[in-house]
Order: sequence, then structure tokens, then C-alpha cells
Amino acid sequence: MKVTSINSYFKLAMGIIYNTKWRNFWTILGIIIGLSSVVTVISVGNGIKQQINGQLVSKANNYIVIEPKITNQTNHSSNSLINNFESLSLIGSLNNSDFPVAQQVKGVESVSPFGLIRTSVSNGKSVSRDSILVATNNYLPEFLNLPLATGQFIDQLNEPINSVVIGQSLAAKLFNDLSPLGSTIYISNQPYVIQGVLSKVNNLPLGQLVDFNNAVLIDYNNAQTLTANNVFLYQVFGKINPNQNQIAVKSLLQSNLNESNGNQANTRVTNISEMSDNSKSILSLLTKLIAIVAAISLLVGGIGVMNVMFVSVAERTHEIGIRKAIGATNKQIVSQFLIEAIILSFIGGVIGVILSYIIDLFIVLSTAIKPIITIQLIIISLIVSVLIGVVFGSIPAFKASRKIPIDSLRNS
Amino acid sequence: MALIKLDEISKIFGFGDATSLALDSVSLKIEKGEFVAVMGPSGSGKSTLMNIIGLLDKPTQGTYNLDNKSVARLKPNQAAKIRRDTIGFVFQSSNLLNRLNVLDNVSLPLAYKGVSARRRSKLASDILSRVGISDKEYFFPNQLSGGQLQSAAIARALINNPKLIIADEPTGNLDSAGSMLVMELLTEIHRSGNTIIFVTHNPELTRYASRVVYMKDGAIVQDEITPYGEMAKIAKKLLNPSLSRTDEDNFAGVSILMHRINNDKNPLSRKRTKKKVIKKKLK
Repeated sequence: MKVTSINSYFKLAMGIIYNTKWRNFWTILGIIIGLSSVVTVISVGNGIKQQINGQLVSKANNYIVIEPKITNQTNHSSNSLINNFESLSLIGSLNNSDFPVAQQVKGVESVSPFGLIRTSVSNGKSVSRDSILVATNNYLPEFLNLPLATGQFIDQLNEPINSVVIGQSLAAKLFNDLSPLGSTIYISNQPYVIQGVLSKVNNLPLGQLVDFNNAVLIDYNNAQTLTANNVFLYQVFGKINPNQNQIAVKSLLQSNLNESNGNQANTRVTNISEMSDNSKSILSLLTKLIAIVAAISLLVGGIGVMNVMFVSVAERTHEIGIRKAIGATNKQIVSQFLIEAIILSFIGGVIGVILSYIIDLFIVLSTAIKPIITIQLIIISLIVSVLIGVVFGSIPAFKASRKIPIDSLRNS
Repeated sequence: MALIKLDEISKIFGFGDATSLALDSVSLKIEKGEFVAVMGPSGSGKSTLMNIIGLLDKPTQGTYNLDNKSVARLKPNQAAKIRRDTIGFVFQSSNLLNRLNVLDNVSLPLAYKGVSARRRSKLASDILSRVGISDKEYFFPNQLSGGQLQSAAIARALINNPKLIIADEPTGNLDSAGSMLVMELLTEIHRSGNTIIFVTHNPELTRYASRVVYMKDGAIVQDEITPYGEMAKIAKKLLNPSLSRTDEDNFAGVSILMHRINNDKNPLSRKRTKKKVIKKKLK
């Protein structure tokens, strides 16, 4: 087919679509809804994955994480705070002994515990009740991306002064605009000196339970003393010496952990890049569900396009007759109607992408999720919309081309 | 060699009991450069014949050679290409596409041939000035008069420089001024060497033709060569039916007489009397 004829079909189709614009708008609504929901879901998923990955310092193979297995429900104390976390995390906790065990494994370089305690924090005057203590050590910044706004990270050489690092929101709440560095805060009536303040952290929408902006980072041993060894040990991060055999060290670590837990396999050692598997699997399940709904919507939209094209063909039977009488071949008639269907669904695709962009803006404004619409996503969704036009436009176009000219001419 | 050679062409419509023989073994030869008028009463098969000659329809039986090629059994796309390249159609209603302006309508056959847009416009423009409506290029069909519409339709038929122009009652929707305009146009085209076949009900228009074919009941019953400017004999007969009496006239007359004589047996008249009785009763 020559370019000139495509151009003229295009012009013609645009005119026809414009003439029946209301009918066509309702027709492509299905495609708009379907495509915009697909694009929104995928962009949200992309955004969440990006945020999860952005939280990790490195996804290299020698960065590992020890997580509890889901079956581990019984062997920790019945502290109500801990139970609260447990119900949130759905996972359970590690044994407190798992951290020293991991530290002692040969080949594991730096180990950082990640324990959680919900508590209230006060500066002597005002109290923040829903703060979280993160019991960790000075290695944490090697694993999680936690830049400091001011001050220093906690270290273990600060005895006897108990030092902490607090989150941005907590600092604002307790100290307003004043610099909190060097100030004292009280946790369970114990004084702690603020040594640093974290930069604002974009919290993960689905993954981590910890709101770092509202957290107090405290040394693990201090936290154990504070809570009488009742820290809810959520995870332990570890870095294996890159010169060691990764698999061997990992299996040694796993067997040591099992041994210390009475030969029960209630821990799991994985690469840090797989840490967010739980949230990712929930995410992918959600994505799949919405994708199915969106696919049905696209199917309905496609059928709508097919219907409106059938109507268009029926309305223009006489025109088809004239065109055939003056020499249009079947292929040329097919092209005419197919291009019309493609333009129709393409317009639906463009509006759908724009709509999903607007929805994403609302998501950014109202939640912590930052959806990402990539160029590839736009191109793929536009290609999909064109494909819908091709698939659902071809049957009416084929029907139009098969009309016998003399019968079509009589129909006026 | 004849441009059109129809041999024993028959066309049957419908199935089973409802079949009708639209064309009954029609044989016809039309030489290049002829200007043929096809006449006949409604339902005589004129349009069916035109459709078969114009490759819009296939004959049920018989052979058809157009320009020395057998075209009776072509595939749809082959027929479309021959229609595009060698045949120009003018219909009773102009059959222009309302969505396109006159220029685009006229250049449409060229678009299907793959001619570039610029060249299309130029050719269409030339043809439109030839048919005398170059000032209406950017008008839409609903803004033109009947004569102008047919002029545009003729321009569209001419755009591919076809060997054969088929006009199925081109003046059927026009007043006499419009008819004259269209016929003058066709005559001028004929003078430049095209073969033209046109269907008409108007006996006056046979003056323009070089040959008149008269059809009845799907067959050609009369075929005469006429000098230009003179009405065909058959056309004169149609204008002045009193000049002669045919068997059919006699049959029709006898039939009417019989109805009058057997007034009581005529169901129509009986009904009429019944109604009268009812009316009287009501009074």
C-alpha cells in the first residue's frame, strides 16, 4: 500500500470519527478505562519496586539477610509489644541469640541486627507516643540507605553515654525548629543523647513496617538492656567477605543458626535483594488481579470498537458500493475500515495513558507511593491499543470488503 | 474487434419458485466509439445488462469479452481493477460521497490507483474544468444542483480516461435543462473517442445516440443504427403510441372490455355494491 493512500485513508477516517464523535467517545471509554488501569497499576508497581530497591545500599550477592521462617510462632516471649509487631509483620521474629551466632560465623564480615520496639519518647516536656525504637548497630548504613541530615551515626564505643539517632519527623515533633543534636530524650525514663538526625526517608508503601522518620535508632545492646532482652529481632543483615565462597558461608551460617535453635529450621538466609520478596509477592498478586480486570475491560472495549465498526460498515454500505464501483479492491476497503478502527482505539490508548498519568499524580499527592511511567510503558500501551484496533477492527473491515458492489449500491 | 462482445448472456435472480429471468440469452456487440442508448420499460433488464457490462455483477450464463478479454468469471479484485482502469460509471443519482468535496470525489479512482495526492488534484482539476464546474472544486455534493452533481459524476467517470463509459439513466433525476447539459457533455466526451452506453427512458435523448437498443423482458427486441440528431424509430413510436397498434394493445383493450361486460363476476365491482348497501342501511 502506498503512503499517499494511507494518508488519504487517515484523513478520511479522522473526518468520519469526528463526525460521530459522541458515539465514538462512548465506544472507546472501555479502552480508556482498561488501558489507564493497566498503566496505573504497572506504574505503581514500578514505583514501589524502585523505592524498595532504592532503600538498599547494595544488591550484590554477598549482602545477605537472616529472616524468620513463617512457621516460627511460638519461641519468643509473649510481650504485648512484640505481639503487636508480629501481627503486623505476619512473619514472626528471630531468636535474640541469632545475632551473636551470625556474628561468629567465619567469613561473615559485618553483621547488623534489625530489632524493633514500639515505645514512647519524650524530651522532658512533650511526648511522642507512637515512636519505634530500631535496635541496631553502626553497620546498618552498610545495608540500608539511611543518610544523615546532621550529626553522626550511633556507634558502640560511646559507653557510658547512651547515644541515639532520631528520624526527621520525630525531631520536628519534639524540638520544632531547634537543632536536636546533643539534646537529651527519655525512653522508659532512661536518658539518651541525640547524636544524629536522619534525612527524610521516603517510607516504603508495602514493605517495611518501620517509619524511619518517626524512629529512634539505638544500639542493639542498649536496647536489650532497656527491654530486659525483649527486643523483637525482625531481621539480621550480614555482609559476607567477597573473597569467600558465598554459598559455603551461607550454608555454614544457616546450619549454625539451626543448631542454636535446637536443630529447628526456623530461620532463612537469603540474599538481601530478595528481602522484599514478601511485599513483592503481594504486589505481584495485586498486579495480576487488577491486570485481569483491566484485560477484561480491554476486551469489552475492543468489542465496543468492533460493534461501532459494524454499525459504521452498515451505515456506509452504499458508500462501499460506490467505492467498489469506481475501482476499490477488497484490500483497499479493508484498509479504510481497519485504519478507522485503529485510529479509534489509538485515541482511546492516548487518552488512557493521559488519564493514568493524572491518576498517578493523585497517588503521588495522597500516598507515599511514587508511580513511575516509563517511556517503554507508554509505547507498549499504545502498541496494545493499536493491536486492539487491529484485532477487533479486522472482522468488520473484512465484512465491509466482502460486500457485493451491486447489492451495496442498491442500499441507499 | 468489438470492444464489448456479449454472447448468450443470461441472468437469473432469486431461488426456487421466486426466480426471475432478468436477462434471457442476450447477445450484443458494441464497437469502439459507439454511442449506444439502451431503452425499454421498467424491469426489462436494462440495468442488469449495464451492471454485467460494467462488471458490477456476474452473468449466470454466457460469455462476455471486454476489450478482447474474457471477463464473465473474474475474481472480485480483478473486476475491481478493470472497473477502475477501463470503465467509468455515471449513475442516476450522482453517487458522490457526501463526506468528500467535489475535487476529492472526482480524484477518488486515482487514489485507488495509487496516484500521488498532488497529481490527483491536478488531474481532477483539469477534468472539472472540462465538464465546466471548475469553480465548484471545493464544494460538497449537497451544495450542488442536480446538473452540477451529474457533471461531477461524469468527471469522476472520466478521470481514469476509461475506454468505456456506462451511464445508467444519467438524466433520470434532472429537468430538461439539466438533461441537455449532461447529454451535451456525454456527446463531447464521445467525440473525443470514448465508447458510451447510456440507459434512458426519455425518447428525445436518442437523438444523441448513434445506436438504440430496445429491451423487453430481458431480451433485446430492437437494435437500430440512427443518424445523429434524429430520434430512433422505436423512440418515435414510444412518444406517439397511437401511430400503430400492437397485439398487446389489443389484448389490454379486450381485457378491459371483458371486465365491463361481466360486471357481476368482477370481485372488485361486487365489493363496491356491497359497500353501497351498507351505507344505505346506515342512513
